[in-house]
Amino acid sequence: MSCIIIGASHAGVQAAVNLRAQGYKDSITLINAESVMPYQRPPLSKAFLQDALPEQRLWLRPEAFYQQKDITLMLSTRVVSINATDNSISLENGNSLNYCKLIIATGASIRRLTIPGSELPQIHYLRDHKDTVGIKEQINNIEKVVVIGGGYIGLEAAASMAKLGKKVTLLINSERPLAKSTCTIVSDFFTKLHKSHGIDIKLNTQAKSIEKAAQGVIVNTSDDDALAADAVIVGIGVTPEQSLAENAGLTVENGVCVNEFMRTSNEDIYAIGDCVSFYHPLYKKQVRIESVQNATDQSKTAASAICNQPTPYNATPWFWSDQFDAKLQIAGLSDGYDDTVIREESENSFAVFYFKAKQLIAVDTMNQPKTFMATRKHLTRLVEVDKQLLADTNVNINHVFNPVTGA
Amino acid sequence: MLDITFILPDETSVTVAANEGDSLMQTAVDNGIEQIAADCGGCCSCATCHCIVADNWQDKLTPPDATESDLLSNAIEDAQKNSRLSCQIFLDATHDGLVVHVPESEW
Ligand SMILES: Cc1cc2nc3c(=O)[nH]c(=O)nc-3n(C[C@H](O)[C@H](O)[C@H](O)COP(=O)(O)OP(=O)(O)OC[C@H]3O[C@@H](n4cnc5c(N)ncnc54)[C@H](O)[C@@H]3O)c2cc1C
Ligand code: FES
Repeated sequence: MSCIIIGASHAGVQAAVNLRAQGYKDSITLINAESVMPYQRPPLSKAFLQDALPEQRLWLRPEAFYQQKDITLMLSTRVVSINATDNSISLENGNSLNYCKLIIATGASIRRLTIPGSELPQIHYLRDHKDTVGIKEQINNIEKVVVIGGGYIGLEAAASMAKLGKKVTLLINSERPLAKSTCTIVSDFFTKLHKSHGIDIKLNTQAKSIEKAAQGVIVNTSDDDALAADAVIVGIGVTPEQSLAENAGLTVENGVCVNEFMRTSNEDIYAIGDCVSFYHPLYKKQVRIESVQNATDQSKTAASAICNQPTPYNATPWFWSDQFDAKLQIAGLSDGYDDTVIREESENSFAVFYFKAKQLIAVDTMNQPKTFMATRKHLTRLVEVDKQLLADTNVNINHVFNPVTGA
Repeated sequence: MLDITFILPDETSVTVAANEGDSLMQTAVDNGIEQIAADCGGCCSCATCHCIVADNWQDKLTPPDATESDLLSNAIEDAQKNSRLSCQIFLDATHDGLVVHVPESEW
């Protein structure tokens, strides 16, 4: 009996911890391609990039923890294949290992630029520890930076670089930032926030090519601008790391497909985290979610199933993003909404509630943690909520959801 | 090193050595107190690091700021007057011997 986990990040490490917490007695091997101690990713574009968090505080667990819990951690080790017919995996170093149960927690890989000049050394990404370290090593040589991408990573990278006193130009290839993930009100808030910190945001603009300059690089844009930069940071999304699963014959479709217990199409193989595509019972559709919440909660579900206490996954998705002093918190999934309601306490503190077919499906809160918490707590079911009460800041948010008791 | 005692939901108590300057949440996570999930890593976004600090230690703690209070009062089913988010409590020499109750994880 043994369990092997491929990928030691938010999902994989927590799966190992949960297996032990649920009483798993056999050996647990946690394998990661990266050489550093397993670490948290969110600070890579925030506190760690800003040099406000020491290296060790990035670690998910201290080194001794793995020994105490009898978890074998194999770093700098890449798995090259899964042999589902004989329950074994092959490593890059030629060795192979047998498993009773396997958990795939391989996460996602960044999408790379493909324009001319994409291989220049001034071009950076933000996914792994080494990426942020690479930027930090250059930080004193960077005065001007071009950030490509208007998603969370691009916005956070731009905010962190501006906080470090760099001159930032942010290229966004749509009409607003976060165009795919939020509504105009939230996008506009971020546009204004970033501009107020001196960031030059260029909307509807793409990078066409990047050339080497006497000092740094020149980024040529679709507006025919030639932007001089000492560094370029790219955040244009990720793709699920599903090749091991695919080559082993498991069902994949925009991620490794799993059932409500995080089990793949093979009885002994589970998959969790960013690499997974699953049917969300609350939203009644197939989704793939990139968040710490999703990684940690799915690790619990997989561990429970492996420990013969299967409990179907039904956690409400939630997410956060910190940029400058703004705290965005999101509960639920808003895509497909047909109506919104705003609860505004001030220009800097508001919430947008998303509705679909009269039911509340999600909320984005800006500097309004109490609304986030109250809503997240109630989003375990989709129900109709009085829109007028939601918008009325004189009504306690808990009373909106629970008019009788106010609990 | 400081002695910090966590009283778990089943009433067993665990005393661990903590570093000055660390948060109470970090101390719990580093020592495998699994009820403290700390999903957001301490940036006061998730409330999964809820704990209850014994009465006699209240005067040694900096009171919660607005974000922490808002998260607490709306996150926790039975938020008690001594409820705190452990990621917002930073330990110093005056906290040696601190006793905190860890509720069953609500998440
Ligand atoms: C800069 C940044 C900021 C973020 N900010 C937030 C935030 O504020 N809030 C939030 O909720 N989420 C945030 N996220 C997303 C969050 O970090 C991810 O959802 C989470 O890391 C997913 O965890 P995971 O374990 O599924 O995958 P990953 O973290 O991607 O880890 C997968 C691991 O598997 C390893 N691996 C892959 N293939 C192999 C192989 N063949 N052999 C061995 N090892 C392998 C990889 O090296 C990697 O270490 C952020 C992500 C980034 C990059
Ligand atoms: S760890 Fe998230 S609020 Fe404390």
